[in-house]
This record gives sequence, structure tokens and C-alpha cells, in this order.
Amino acid sequence: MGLGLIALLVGACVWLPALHLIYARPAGRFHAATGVPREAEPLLKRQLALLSSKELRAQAVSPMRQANPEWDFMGRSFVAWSLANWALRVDPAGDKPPPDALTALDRLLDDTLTVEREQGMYAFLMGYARSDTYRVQPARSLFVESELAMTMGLRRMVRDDKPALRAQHAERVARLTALLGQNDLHAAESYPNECWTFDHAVALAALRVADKLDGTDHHALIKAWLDAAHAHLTDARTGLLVSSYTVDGHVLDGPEGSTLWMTIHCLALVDEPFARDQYQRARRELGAGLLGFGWAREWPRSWQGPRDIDSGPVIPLLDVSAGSSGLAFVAASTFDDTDYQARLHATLDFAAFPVDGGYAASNQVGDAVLLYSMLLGPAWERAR
Amino acid sequence: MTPRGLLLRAALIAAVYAVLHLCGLRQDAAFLSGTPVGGTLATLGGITYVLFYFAAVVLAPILVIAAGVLRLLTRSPATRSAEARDRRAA
Repeated sequence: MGLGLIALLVGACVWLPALHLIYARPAGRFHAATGVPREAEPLLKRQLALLSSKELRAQAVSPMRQANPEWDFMGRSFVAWSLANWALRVDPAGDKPPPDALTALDRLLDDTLTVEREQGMYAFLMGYARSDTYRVQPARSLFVESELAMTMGLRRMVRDDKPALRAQHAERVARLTALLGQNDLHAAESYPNECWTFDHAVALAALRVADKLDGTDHHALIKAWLDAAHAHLTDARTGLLVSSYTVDGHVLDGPEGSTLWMTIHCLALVDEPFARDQYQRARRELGAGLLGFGWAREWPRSWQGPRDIDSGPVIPLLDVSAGSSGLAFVAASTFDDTDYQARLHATLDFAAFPVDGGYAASNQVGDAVLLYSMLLGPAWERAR
Repeated sequence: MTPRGLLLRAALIAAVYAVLHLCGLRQDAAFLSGTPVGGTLATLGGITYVLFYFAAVVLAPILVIAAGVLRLLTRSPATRSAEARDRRAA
């Protein structure tokens, strides 16, 4: 081996293990029990700016809608949930929530409901939603219903000052209950004959939020879904929940990071021990890291799944999935796993190209998920 | 491979990256998100930026360290004895 190669090898051995130190941040920068963590501030400012200008919002959202209309809807949901948690962080008593939070949250919710009313749920679904008929009629997507119910509930949690919203929320919750009560598996479609664990977990958490707000009791339905999930929706090799299945319980996709991390976050509200067990398994099966950087795989090694719109781009060899890594922030924050969060943040700052108020390699929904990961907590605390 | 050559390569990478950055190509890294932003030119700009960014933060520092190491390894015994004599004389 020549001296040049030896020198390069020494250089690599010195530099590569030290590289993450440039991007390392103390946990307090992105994880705090109260107030707004410093790393969340520019993201929050940017999302508020997008909500205050139709032109800016169109610039950010239109290209994203072209790629996937779901991202528009999820971007709305994650921003709304972030705003609600922001308000609860700044004003836990609910006396004086930040006016920006309530104004932006109401604007977002009104606009989303207007789009749904005028264009139907298909405005927020991918094209294949129209290629088949929903098995349960009238056609409703649990994806849309569950996230809207959650948004309405969290808005009310900040301040329950709108009787009209209370009525709309009750109607959504009734729809969720009806959708989840259609069969023994409590499986509701998001797409024709396609049920997603992600959406069911959001629905269960939305029901728990409604119970807290209105004194209703959905414990039996929540327990029934969890029992069915234990029995029919668990991958035998990993013990992880599968991500999608048909109405009669035929598994379509196994444990998928982009679904599982959010599922875990929502299950933490309704069954904390189960959610924690799933998190520990997911960390083992999907969490990955090297030289101080962290990321998440879309699929466990034991499951060969596709690279698709949910996984986002996947970097070969290291198996870094953008979709799974983004939602891993949410689950890590839920369980105060600041070590994994720090590694994920280091990767983000290293490879996602931070720009003013977001990340160049991300988009509005990606930035919204990151924002939510840094603000979540107070709403779940209140709903427990 | 000489220390000077390694340093020159590192400097070249850093300089190209700085130019691309100053030209505002960082935004074009948006192609990584899977969202169609800009046209083919923006995507090509983004790919170039991403490659030079990683070269600048991963490869260039390795080249600099390697240059130092190589310099130490290639100093001739004659140079080293001359330096030692100079130190003693001082």
C-alpha cells in the first residue's frame, strides 16, 4: 500500500467519526417539556407564514399535490396538531392561547373543510381511490375522517368556544364509530378495500380526545380494535403491527416505517405499554445508525417491501428511507428517546440541507412532521 | 500523490461548492423530496450541488488531513537531520 493511500486512510479514520460533531445539537434544542424548542421556531414561523399568504402556500403545496394529494392533507393535519400543541405549551391553562395559533388553526380547518365540501374526500386521496368501489357505502375514507376528527378535537382542546365546531366534531366522531363498527376486525377503508393501521391509530386517538372533551366512552371500541390488532395484524417474525390490510384482514403490506412510527405515537395515547413495546421493537428492526448519525429503514430486514410514495426516496446500501426517518422523529419524541432524536437531527442537518424555515430536501409535509415532533406532548398529556 | 496535490484537490472542491452555494443552488436540493420543483435544469443543478456539498464536507477534510499525514511520512531523513541540527544550533 502506497504512502498516499495510507495517508487517505488515516484521514478517513480521523474525520469520519468526528463528522457528526459538526451537526450534533444538545437535546434541549429540539426537545422541551414546555415552551417552543429553539429548533422548532423557524419551522413554526415558516408554517405560519404559509398560512397567512395564499400565494406562498400555493407555491409550497401545489407541486406537492402533484406528487401526492395525501401530502397536502397530512401537511394540513400536522400543522394543525402542531399549532394546538404550541398553544397548549404556551398557555396550559387555556386563558390566553397565542392569537396566531388560534387564527391559523381556524383558517386551516375552515379551508380544509371547504375543500372537502366542494371537491369531496377524493381531493385528498391518490388517484387510485376512484379505480374501485369502497366495500362499505356510503364511501368514506378513514384517512380523511380520522385526521379531521383529531384536528377538530385538538382545536377544541385549546379553547372550546365554538358551538358549531362542537357539533361538527360530534358528527365526525359518530362517523368514526360507525366506520370502525362495520366488521369483527373493526377495519375501515382509507382506499377501496385497503385499510391502514396508521389511520386506525389516529382514529383511536381521536376517539380518546373526544372522550376527554365530551365525557363520552369509546373504551370498548378502542379495546376491541386493539384485541383484533394483537390477534390478526401482527407480523409473526418481528411482532410489529402490519401497515395495511383488506377489510377481511388479508395483510397487504407488512411492518412499514412510514406507517408504524405514527401508529406508535397515536397508540401511546390509548395503550401506552403496547405502544412502548412496539417502539422498542421498531427501534430494533427499523432504527439504524452509523458514526453518530441516525435514520430509519422503511422495512425490517425480514420483509421485502416496495419503495413507494410512502417510503420516499431510499438511499441504497444504508437503506435510509426519507418517509420512515421523518416519522421516526415523532415516535422518538413521544417516548423521550432523545439519543435517537439527536442522531436523527444530526442526519437531518447533515443531509437534508437546512434553509430558512425548513429543509431544502424536504417539503411542506416533511417540515410539518418535524415541527410536530418538536411540539407534541401537551395534547396527549391532557387527553390521558 | 503529493501533499500539495491533495490540498489543491480539497481547495478545488471547496471552491466549486462555494460558487454553487453562492449561486443559490441549495434550494434545488428539493429534488430529493420527490416533489417536482423546477425543471430538468433545476434537478441537474440540485444533483451537482448535492455531490459537491458531500464532497466538501466529507471528502475535502479527509484530503486535508491526508496531506498533513503524507507530509509527515514523506519528509526525507536528510531534511529531518537538517531540521534537528537547526534546532540544536538555535
